[in-house]
Amino acid sequence: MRITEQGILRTSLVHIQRHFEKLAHNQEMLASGIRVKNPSDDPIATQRILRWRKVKESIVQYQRNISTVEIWMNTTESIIASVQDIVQRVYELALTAGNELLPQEIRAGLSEEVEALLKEIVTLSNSAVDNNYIFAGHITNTKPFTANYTGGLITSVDYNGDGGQRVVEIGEGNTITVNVLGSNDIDNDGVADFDYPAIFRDANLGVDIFDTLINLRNDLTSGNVNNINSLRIPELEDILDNLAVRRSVVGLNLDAITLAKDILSKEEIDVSEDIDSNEKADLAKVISDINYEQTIYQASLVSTSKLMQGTLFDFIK
Amino acid sequence: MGTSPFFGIEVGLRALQSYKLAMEVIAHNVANANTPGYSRQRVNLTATEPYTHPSFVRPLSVGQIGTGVRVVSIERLWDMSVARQVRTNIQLLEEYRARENMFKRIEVVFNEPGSVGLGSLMNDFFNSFQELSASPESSIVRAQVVQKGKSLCDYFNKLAQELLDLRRDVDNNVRIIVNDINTKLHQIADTNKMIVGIVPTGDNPNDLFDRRDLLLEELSELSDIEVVLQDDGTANVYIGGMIVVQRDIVTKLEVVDNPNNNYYASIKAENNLGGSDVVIDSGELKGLLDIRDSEEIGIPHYQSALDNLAKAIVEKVNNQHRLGAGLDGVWGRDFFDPLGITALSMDLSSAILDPVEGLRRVAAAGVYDTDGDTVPDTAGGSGDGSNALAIAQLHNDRTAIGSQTFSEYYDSFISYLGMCSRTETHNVENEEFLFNQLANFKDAVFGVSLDEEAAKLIEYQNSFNASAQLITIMNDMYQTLIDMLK
Repeated sequence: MRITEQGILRTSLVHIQRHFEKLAHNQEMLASGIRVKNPSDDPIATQRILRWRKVKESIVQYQRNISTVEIWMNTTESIIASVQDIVQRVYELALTAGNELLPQEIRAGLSEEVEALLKEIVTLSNSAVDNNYIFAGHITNTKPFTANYTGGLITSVDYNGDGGQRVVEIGEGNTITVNVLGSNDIDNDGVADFDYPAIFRDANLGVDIFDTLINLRNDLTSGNVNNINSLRIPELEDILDNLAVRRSVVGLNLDAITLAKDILSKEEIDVSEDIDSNEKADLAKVISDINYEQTIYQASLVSTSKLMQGTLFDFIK
Repeated sequence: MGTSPFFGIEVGLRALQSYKLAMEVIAHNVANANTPGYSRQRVNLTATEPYTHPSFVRPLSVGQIGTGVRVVSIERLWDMSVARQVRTNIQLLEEYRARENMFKRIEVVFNEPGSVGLGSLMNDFFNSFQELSASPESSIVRAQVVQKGKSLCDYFNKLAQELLDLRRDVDNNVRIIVNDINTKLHQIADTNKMIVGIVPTGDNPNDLFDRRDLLLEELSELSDIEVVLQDDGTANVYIGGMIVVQRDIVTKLEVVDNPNNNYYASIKAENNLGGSDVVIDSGELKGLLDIRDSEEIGIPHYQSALDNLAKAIVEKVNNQHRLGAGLDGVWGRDFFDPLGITALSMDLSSAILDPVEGLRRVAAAGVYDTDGDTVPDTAGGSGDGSNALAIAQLHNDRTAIGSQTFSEYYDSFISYLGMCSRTETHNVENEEFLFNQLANFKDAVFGVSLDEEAAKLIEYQNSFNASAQLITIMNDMYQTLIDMLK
């Protein structure tokens, strides 16, 4: 085939430019560390990267959710523990008072202590995290328990909350209930309105800390040892059982979310690796490609310059 | 009797003239070795008509006697099928290049997989509802929800606007190219006119042919054309089957704003403005028209996809949001403006945008039926985040848009963009490779090889010198004859 000077130059230039382009592309990957800058760089990898990013950001959100609920649940557990301590003390008082031989003056004096402990429990029942009452169901902006007084003594305690369950996701489709109800008797009629367990007043189990303590105080004042032994003490035992169960359930839930947190951490690492393997440039490969392209580029420059060394015209005398 | 005394000198003279002309043609070739579109020329030498000479002994003398050399034509080395192949290649190359460039610009608009694209804004938006489900009382969290919602709307608006602007840019380019086409058509017609004056005289307007071929190649960059050579040397040019250059007469292309297509340019023939559009099948114009108008691969595809996504998000979120109540106990509100169902018009509802009450109105709480009539009548309390959770879970809803989640739908059209772009880049590379091959073929036939021209120059120069020497010798001979008469 006839070859012209223009032809040789054109072909050489095309190759030189191709190599230079590859060189430039590799340099950019080296500088940015990114292999996929545009979808056209690798359409399938782009789809993977976007999908894994969504997963990763969800994982991070679930971890945040867990942190938020951990505070609530830890607080719940420690309040229950405090209530347990107080009820335990009341129980011991009741046992002492249940002894017929105890003088009534002493027995009557105990009623003051019970009143004080009752007031403490009422305060604990209105615990809050971030100004949100934790035993109120969904009505977290209002104190769940209000005490009614007559002559400076509590006569009854009303529940103002509802049966709302505070549900949060800690994994896709995986939810936990964060709160425990203070009471499952909304209208204070002694009949349970929900099947959910409660801490202070569980009408399904016939357990009511406030009623029991009010009645005990009255029994102590009036010296009704019979009531104390046949009613109050068994009631207190039931209350302590309920508290123990409730507390351990919260503890189990706390363990569950700790486990979830660990699993999420691992998943986060795995997903990050997946994203990186698709998105990041393999620097070793890039550097070796650059060396290769550099060599070829130089070679083509040299060979092109050697080709363009004059024509027959130079030799005509 | 013999030939005239000056016969030999005449033969020599004709030779000198012929070789001088031959060398001038070589000079022309060498001068134009780098001229784009130049096809090399060569002289065709032929022996001039032989001559039968009368004599005494018989009617004819020995012979016929040759009378020398002449240049019968200056031929342009050209090949019609190579020229046509080159034009086809150029059309395709420019068509692919136009689309490749525009795909890259669309990729820049979406900016994925960068760190802040629509993908991550959607993630942020739904995750803010997760946050709300865990802390429905918090005004900081509520503010975050509203803010992420607004950012999402703003970004949809921005993408839609940029695509619209890009489409308008493409339309402007279309108009400019139609002008360019018309300019070239006139230039080709002018060249035809000049050619038509020369061909009948038997001459070869080689440089005019070259100029016309170059114009045809440049025209091919813009649109696909068909060229039919006429006997009188002119070329008729057709676009989309319609004649646009007939000898020296041009039928221009006109741009008409099309009310059925956003008032973008429709291309019509100037003598048929009410008729159907001129069909453009290749060239830069086709590439741009595809990008401007194609529902399958062009900007409209992405505009539709964005609109579908915006509408789906607005409707699904609103449907769920209406089922929930704000901190004021009111339900049935929309989160997004229900009229804003395109990417360009997407916005938060005025209820949520309210600077004083907006935050409280975000419907985190559920609504319940407490009186047993299956009609919801009571809103949940301030700690109820169940509706926020339901909205957050829309992010994983596999029926959100068709049978995909919002993210799956988005990811797949971004990936589709990447594939179209990559395919087009490959097309360009392949066509460029072909371009070089064809250029080399073209060179083999049309191109000037300086070595070859040098060799021919030496050849002609030697013949010229020899002929000049011949004349001198012949002259001496006649001088001898003339001296005899003294």
